[in-house]
Amino acid sequence: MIDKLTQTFATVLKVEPSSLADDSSPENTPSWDSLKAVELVAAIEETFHLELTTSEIMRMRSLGIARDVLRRRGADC
Amino acid sequence: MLFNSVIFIFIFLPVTYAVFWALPSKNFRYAWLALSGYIFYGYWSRRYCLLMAFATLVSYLAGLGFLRWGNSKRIRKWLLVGPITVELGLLAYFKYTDFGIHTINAVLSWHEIEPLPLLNIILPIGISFYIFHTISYIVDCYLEVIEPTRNPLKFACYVSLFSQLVAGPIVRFTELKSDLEKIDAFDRRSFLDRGWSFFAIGLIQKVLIADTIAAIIDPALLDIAQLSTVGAWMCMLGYTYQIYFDFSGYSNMAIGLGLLFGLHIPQNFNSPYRALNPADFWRRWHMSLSRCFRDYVYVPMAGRRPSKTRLAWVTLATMTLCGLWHGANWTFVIWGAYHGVLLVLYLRYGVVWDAMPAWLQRTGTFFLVLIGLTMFRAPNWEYASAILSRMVVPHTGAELVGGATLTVMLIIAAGVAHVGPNAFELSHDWSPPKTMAIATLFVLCLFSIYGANQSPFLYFQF
Repeated sequence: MIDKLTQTFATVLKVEPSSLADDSSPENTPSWDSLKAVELVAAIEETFHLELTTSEIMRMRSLGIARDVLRRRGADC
Repeated sequence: MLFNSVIFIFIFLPVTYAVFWALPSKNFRYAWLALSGYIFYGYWSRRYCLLMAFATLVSYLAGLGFLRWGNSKRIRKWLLVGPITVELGLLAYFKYTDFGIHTINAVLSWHEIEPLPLLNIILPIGISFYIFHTISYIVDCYLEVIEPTRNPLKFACYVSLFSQLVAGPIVRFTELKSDLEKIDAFDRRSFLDRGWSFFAIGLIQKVLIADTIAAIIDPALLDIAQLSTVGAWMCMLGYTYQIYFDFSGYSNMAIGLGLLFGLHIPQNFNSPYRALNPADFWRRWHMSLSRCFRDYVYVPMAGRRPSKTRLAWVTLATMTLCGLWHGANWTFVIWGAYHGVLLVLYLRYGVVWDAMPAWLQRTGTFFLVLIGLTMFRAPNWEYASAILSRMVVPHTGAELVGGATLTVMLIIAAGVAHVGPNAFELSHDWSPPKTMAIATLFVLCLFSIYGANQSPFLYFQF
């Protein structure tokens, strides 16, 4: 089953959810460019109903780190 | 010391390699690589080794601070701001002081006020690169992307690693950390073929393509008043290929050298002249720098839910800073801003651009990059506008010395850059015909180097 965070990334990055894993990052996901990085922040905030800090935004360099950031904030992802 | 020098290829590299693999433990290997980095750097300036050591110490101590006071938000902020201010202060003083004075003097001259004296500070080679390494380490420690290292030898080895020391790629600690952890566990032969292959390909790109082109266009560009329109186009086309083969050649050599010591340095060029648009170009050109500017400048400046206008300004500011990073000269600032404008325009009108046939998008992107490089190559704005005017307005001029050779080199360079595979797309497995071909070209490079044709890499100046 695809979790909510992976689905959010897949929608923004326009890729199959099955192609994403916790180590997915801009380095191994061609569509994850700087513009998509900004769109991802907005999509995550909307999906999980929270506001990310600048430090949290800067940390999110992979799907796994984004999951870690959200779990620390108590989000169910 | 240059990668393409007799002393590096025949003395420094064999000795460093042999001693490294003879050493039994991690700490000995860290210490040896750190020491060899300082010898490599000290060959250019022993005095500035102290500067690198100081920058290393500041960021290492910041890392220890994060370990000691990691739970205090206030102290963490100080540990971020303090050391980064010191590191940026070094960069600002050594790289930008005289540029600032020059600019102030230009303003003073408008008001006929006596100019300030220049300090004539010698730019330490590679300062922009190793300062970026140390700053990225401090920021990543603050963000908890990495756990700071307690081992000073390991950290010194990372900062002074000779393969990436003076012209990148900009490798973040997080990218090398796992390799550094396993530095005593590699099999020497695992990456031997791949390492030598990358090194040889890089040397061929630099010596046989970039330097051959430079030998023809550099004298011609000294006297642009003599250039015809065709000559100006050929020179700038030549420079466009020269800078690519020079820098990607250096990067491939760095990647190959890293592999010889079991370290995986990430790709820095992914056939940028095949890019379909300006955004695609920056995903392929100097990728390690683009990543740094994306993660440390663009993303935090963009913040949460930026408007399109804000995003445009952030893009423009990021690219202008990227230009300034390249050099203390307004031509670099203009070059960066020019690419910022291209990216903003693509952001706004990308749909129209993307509707064009792929070959037209590639040609258009290449042409826009070439125009930008006139500013990158020029020592000042007057020079840049003079060469641009020669390219746009028909001019007659003297015949280009070496024009026929340049034509042949441009055809070869274009074939490799636009159609041929890059070093990461090649298989580096042993096969007799391929190895013979690379070995023959490698020997040709050695003859060229031995014939005293050892030109520095263009990115050393940054």
